[in-house]
Amino acid sequence: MQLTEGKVAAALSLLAAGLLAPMAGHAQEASGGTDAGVSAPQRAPNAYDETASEPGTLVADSAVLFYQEDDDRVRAIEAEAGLTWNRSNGSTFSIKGTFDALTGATPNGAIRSNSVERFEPPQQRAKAADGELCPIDGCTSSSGTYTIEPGKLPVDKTFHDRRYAVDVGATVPVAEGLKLSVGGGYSHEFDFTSRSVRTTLAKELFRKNTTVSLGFNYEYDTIRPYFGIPDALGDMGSYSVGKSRLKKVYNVVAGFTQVLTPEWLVQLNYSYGHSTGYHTDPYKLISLVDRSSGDPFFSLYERRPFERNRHSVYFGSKLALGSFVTDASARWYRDSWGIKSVTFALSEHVPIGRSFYLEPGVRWYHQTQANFFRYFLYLDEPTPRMASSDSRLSRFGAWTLGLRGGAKVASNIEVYGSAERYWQYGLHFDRTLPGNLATTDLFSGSKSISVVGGVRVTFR
Amino acid sequence: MLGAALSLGGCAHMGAEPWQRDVLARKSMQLAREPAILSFDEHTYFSKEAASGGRSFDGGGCGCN
Repeated sequence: MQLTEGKVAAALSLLAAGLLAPMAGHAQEASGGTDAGVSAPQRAPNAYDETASEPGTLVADSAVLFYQEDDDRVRAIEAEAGLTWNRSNGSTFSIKGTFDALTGATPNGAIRSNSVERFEPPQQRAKAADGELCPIDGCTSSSGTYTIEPGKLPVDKTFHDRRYAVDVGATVPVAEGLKLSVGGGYSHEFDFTSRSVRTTLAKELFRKNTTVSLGFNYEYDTIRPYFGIPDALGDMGSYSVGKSRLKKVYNVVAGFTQVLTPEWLVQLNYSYGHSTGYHTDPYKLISLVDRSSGDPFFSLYERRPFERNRHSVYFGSKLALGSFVTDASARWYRDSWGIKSVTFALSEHVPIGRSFYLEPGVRWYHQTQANFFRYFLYLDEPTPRMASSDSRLSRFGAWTLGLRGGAKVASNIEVYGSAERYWQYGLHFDRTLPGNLATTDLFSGSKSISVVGGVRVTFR
Repeated sequence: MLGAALSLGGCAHMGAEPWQRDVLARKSMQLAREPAILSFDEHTYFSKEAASGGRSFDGGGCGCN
C-alpha cells in the first residue's frame, strides 16, 4: 500500500497539534511570571550552561525527521515522541514511540544495462479457488514486476514500508554509585518484526570521576518478505522457499567513562555482537553477466552467511572551553564478513546569546567490502557459496556535513533541530573489465538530505 | 584495557573535585546531547552502512539492513 500525500499531511498535522498544545499552555506561564523560572538560569551565560540534571521532572520530547535521497530514491518521514520521568531518588523511567513511513526506490543489486531490464519477485504457491496450487501471480493480479530503462540504475520502485516501534526503559540506583538499567523494544513493519530486551549495570568510582559499565542486549527478529523467502542464488522469479525466517542478535557493550579535568570528559566502549539466522536481503538480486559482451543476462537472488560477529571500539571526547564544547569521536569496526570500517566525527557547540546554540559538525566514514561482495557474477563461472551485490557491503566512503541548533524558548520549553547532507562515494568504473562492463557505472551509493525538528517540554 | 583504564581513573591528579563539577554537569557537556537526533542519525547510518553500534548497542530494530 502506497502512502498518499493526504495521509502523510494528516499524520503530520496531528503530530504538530500534539507538539504545539503544551507550548501554548506554557507560553502564558512563561510570559506571565518568569521570575521563578529564570532566577537560576540568569547566572549562566547561556541556557545550555545550565545543569542537565533535573530530578523530580517529567520530560516530554517529540521530534520529526524528513529524509530524502537524491534521484527520487528513498523518502522517509520518521516521528518519535517520548516521556521521561526523572524521580528525585535518581531513578528514571521512560517510554518512547516511533513511527516511520518510507516510500521511493531502492537499488535492487543488479547492474546497469544497455537494454531494458525486467525484474520480477519470487513466485509464491498459493491456493486457488478450486484448491489447486498455482503461482500467486496467476491466481491474483498482484505483481512487483517492473522494468528499468537502458543505462539507468536498477531500482525497486515498489519499495514502501511503515514501521511502528515502542521502547521502554528504567534506570534505578541499586547501591551507592551503582545503577541498573533495564529496557525493551518492539518494532513492527509489514515484512519485519523485532523484539529486544537489554540491561546495563554502571558503577561510579573515584569520586564519580570514573564510570564503568557492562550492558547486554538481545534482539529477536522475524523477516516476512512480501513475496516470500527467495531461493538463495536461485533464478529471479523462481518459487519462494518459505514465508518467513528468524534472526537473533546478541550484543555486549563494555563502557568506560573518565573525567580527565573539570572541563574534559572521555568515553571508551568496546562492543561485541553475534547474530545468527537470516541475514540475506530478500529483495536484493545479483546480475549474471556474459563475459564476452559484458552485458547482464539474467539475475539471481543474493545469499549471505548464516552468522555474523561484529567488534567495535568507540572513543568519544567532550572538551569545554568557556561555553564552547568540542565533541570528537572515533570508531573502529570489523566483522566476520571481512568488513573493516573507521568513523570520525567532530562538532563544535557554539553558544549564541543567552538562549541559543548552533553546532556545526562533520563525519567521515569508510568501509572495506565484505568477502562475498561481488558487483556481478559471470555466467560461465561456478556459482559461489555466498554472493551479494548490495552496495552497503561494498567498499565505499561517506561524508556528512550538518548543522544542529537549539533554543530555550521558555523556562521549561526547548526547541531543537538539525539539517544534514550525507553522500557516499566509491568506485564507479573498472576499465579492466571485459566488453561493455568497462564503461558500466557500477556505483549505486546514495546521497541524502535530512532535516529534524523537535521540542522538549519539562514539567516540574 | 579495563585494568589500564581503572588505574588511569585512580590517578590522584586526574578528574574533578565535587565543587569543580559545574562544567561537566552542563547540558552542553552531556554525552548524548540530543537523543532524538542521535537516534535518527543512528537509524540512517544503520540502513546505509555495514558498521553499526559503538556508542551503544548495535542492531537497529528495523528491517533496513
